Amino acid sequence: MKAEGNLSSPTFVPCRQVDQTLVSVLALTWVENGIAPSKYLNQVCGQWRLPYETSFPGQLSVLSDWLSIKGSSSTDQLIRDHSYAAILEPFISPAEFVRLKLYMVGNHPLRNRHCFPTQLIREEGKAVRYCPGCIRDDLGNFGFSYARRLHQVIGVQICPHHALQVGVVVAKSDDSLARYGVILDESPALRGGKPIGNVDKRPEVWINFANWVFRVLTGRIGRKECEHSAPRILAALGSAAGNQHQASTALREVISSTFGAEAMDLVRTRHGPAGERWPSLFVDGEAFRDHAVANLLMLSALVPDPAGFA
Amino acid sequence: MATDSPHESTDWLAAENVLLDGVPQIPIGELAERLAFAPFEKLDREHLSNETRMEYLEMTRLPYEPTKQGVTAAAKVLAMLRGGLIARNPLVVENRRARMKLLAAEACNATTVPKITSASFAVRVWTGMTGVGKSALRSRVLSLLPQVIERGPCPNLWERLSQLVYLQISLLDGTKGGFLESILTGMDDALGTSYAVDLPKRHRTVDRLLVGVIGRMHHHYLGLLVIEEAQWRNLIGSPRAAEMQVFLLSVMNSGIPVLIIGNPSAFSWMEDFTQDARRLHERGWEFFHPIGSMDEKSAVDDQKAVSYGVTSYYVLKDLPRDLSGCRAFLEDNLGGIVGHELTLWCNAQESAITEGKSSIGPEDLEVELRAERFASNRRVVDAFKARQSWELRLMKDVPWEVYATAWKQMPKVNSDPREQGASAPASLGASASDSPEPTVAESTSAAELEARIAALGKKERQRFAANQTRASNRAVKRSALQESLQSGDMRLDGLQQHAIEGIANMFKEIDSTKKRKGKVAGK
Repeated sequence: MKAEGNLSSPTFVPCRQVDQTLVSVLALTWVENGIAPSKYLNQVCGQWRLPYETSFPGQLSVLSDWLSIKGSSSTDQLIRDHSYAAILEPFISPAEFVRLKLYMVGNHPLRNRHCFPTQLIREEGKAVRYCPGCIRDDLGNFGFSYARRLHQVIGVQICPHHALQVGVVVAKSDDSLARYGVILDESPALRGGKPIGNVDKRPEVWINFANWVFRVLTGRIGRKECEHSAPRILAALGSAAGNQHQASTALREVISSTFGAEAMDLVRTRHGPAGERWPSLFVDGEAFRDHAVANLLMLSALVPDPAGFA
Repeated sequence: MATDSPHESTDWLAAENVLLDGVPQIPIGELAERLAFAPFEKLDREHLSNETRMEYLEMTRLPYEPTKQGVTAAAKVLAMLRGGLIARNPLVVENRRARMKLLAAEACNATTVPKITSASFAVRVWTGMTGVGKSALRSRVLSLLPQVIERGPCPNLWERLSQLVYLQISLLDGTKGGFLESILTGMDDALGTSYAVDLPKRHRTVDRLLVGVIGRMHHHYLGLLVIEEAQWRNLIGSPRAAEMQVFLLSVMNSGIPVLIIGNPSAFSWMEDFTQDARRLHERGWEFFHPIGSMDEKSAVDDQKAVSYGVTSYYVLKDLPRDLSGCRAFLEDNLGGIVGHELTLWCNAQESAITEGKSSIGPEDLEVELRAERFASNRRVVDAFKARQSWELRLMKDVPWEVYATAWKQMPKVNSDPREQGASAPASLGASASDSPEPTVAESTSAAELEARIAALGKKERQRFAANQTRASNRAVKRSALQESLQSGDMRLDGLQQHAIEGIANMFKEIDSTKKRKGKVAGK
């Protein structure tokens, strides 16, 4: 275990914050203990190509011990509170979620390609997104800010809490700690924040989508609520359209009319955007029924207010 | 949740501070009792073997009976420690931000310590000649504190924290690297970390390592850094003294409360750093003197307490003969130097053990005082007993000017102060005493001084005269040289002026070269 071999036990473990990314949790702990995040992050993440991924194959049990998270549910806690796997939980079967956890904890093979975080977080593999409003609030409350899972998820362009456009810090930025999810001050790259009215034609639908993502990530909407979401969506569309072809067309139209045509590209496979065909695949078979972004797009288009979803 | 910035509100004073949990706040009224330490108080003396008695006398667990000044100094240091933790309350957002800045600088391998506006300058200096009880007091004060507090989860702050309450290091090495290494080693011993191995690998230069060490101290919320053995040879006399001084100031300015213990001659450099010196002189300086040497009001009580403490360090089978006589002997004959009182008392007991005696009395102390093995101490003891400052002048680690001033023996005509060995400011002694600051007009006449010099032994007189002659010859030579030097001479104007002129010439040369090249290109 690489992390175990290189890291002595930390003498200070900071509190983990709500929705903080796992990379940020680790980076903050390293900074607190005087270690540059770049020193170990790539070793722990396993792949340099995707330094901000949080699948951490085979590392989570060691990291949970290292982070002083005690008890049998330690790795569960990290997965639920800080990894992107939390967004998948409502949409995949319990058995598949167990397999995902085994992959993260013990590097067991994972066959379901939709479970890889590459399909969930934004395309820019070496970029981290922040809301300027969240940074300002955090600096006022904690003295530092951190990267949130919510802002990294594909399709989240506007922070639902501050109604500000999410900004980007890229890997080659001078702000070396910001790219690991630790912000110490309002750097020029993140200062300000554009009002949403100027940057998007339909801000309210993206806020709804972000709200859906946030609720799923923080466990307010779970498997119980979403267990039959796909059949319910199909039933709603099918009853209006009459057959499967019409249902998939209706689905495509609902998404396009709600979010715009470009929203179709947000549903991605391991090889890139799924294209225009994914609604038909979703309706016809099982191919995208466990895809978190596909489900969330449809749910937020059909049920704008997540608080009313049951 | 976090409270307001200390710069904007005073609510932070009353704010909850988890760092103070477990750091005792000792009432000043109880402090003397808590500081007192008599290691042999409950010793079963009757059944000890002589070998064990000798072993006990050789132990370093020294007794301590606090003086009034000791209690005051201890109270101030304990207050500084807790005050430093209050000032760094982690619930104050400003403090968390400042701390994170330092830690980020460390993590990013920065070469300079970031400026922290909220950092307080908390430094105390315990100074005084050897044997006046500084180290014993330090040992007793630190014994009242836990060194490490392991803290569990604290909402919004941490899951785990190893808080380092105090750290004691020695400045014996006198180099920057040695200083930092001793801090890291001390931390490793206390916390079980491996900083002394890990940090030099992460921070390859001494400047980067300083940032790392300051980061580590803030990381553990170090309450008090105690630096011992500040001596002339490692803070002024070493070839890299100036760098070491700036280095030490960086540590002091980082917001970690620092207590420096050492010889007065080691701190004259602080005079050069005006702002820091002012802060120190305002409230940070504690000058320990032999009891009674500065005519302090508490001298009689302090001397009684000390002789009581010294005589309690007793291992012989039978009680001392004429205990009050023994105490009176110690009080009257050792010049108020606590360390020497204890040495004499232990020497007398060791002699009694080797001679097969079961107790000691005043006459044994008298014999020990005249013994060969006490000869090296006797000169300073006699000088303080008889208040002969010119005797002290011959000892390098005794701030003789302080005592000459206090005893009104300062000669009217001063030789060059650079020739005078120890150079602690004369006002230091006066500030710590109750006596008014003497002026030059009050000092003794040259004739009186000569009469006293005449009373010295032949060899000492010769040495003193030789020193005086050497000093005056140097002063004459220096003034003659300065008069003869031309205005442009480097020795007169200094190297700096010379360097500035050199740089100016270089720029002129570059300009003329550029112009020449421009003309050639134009053609």
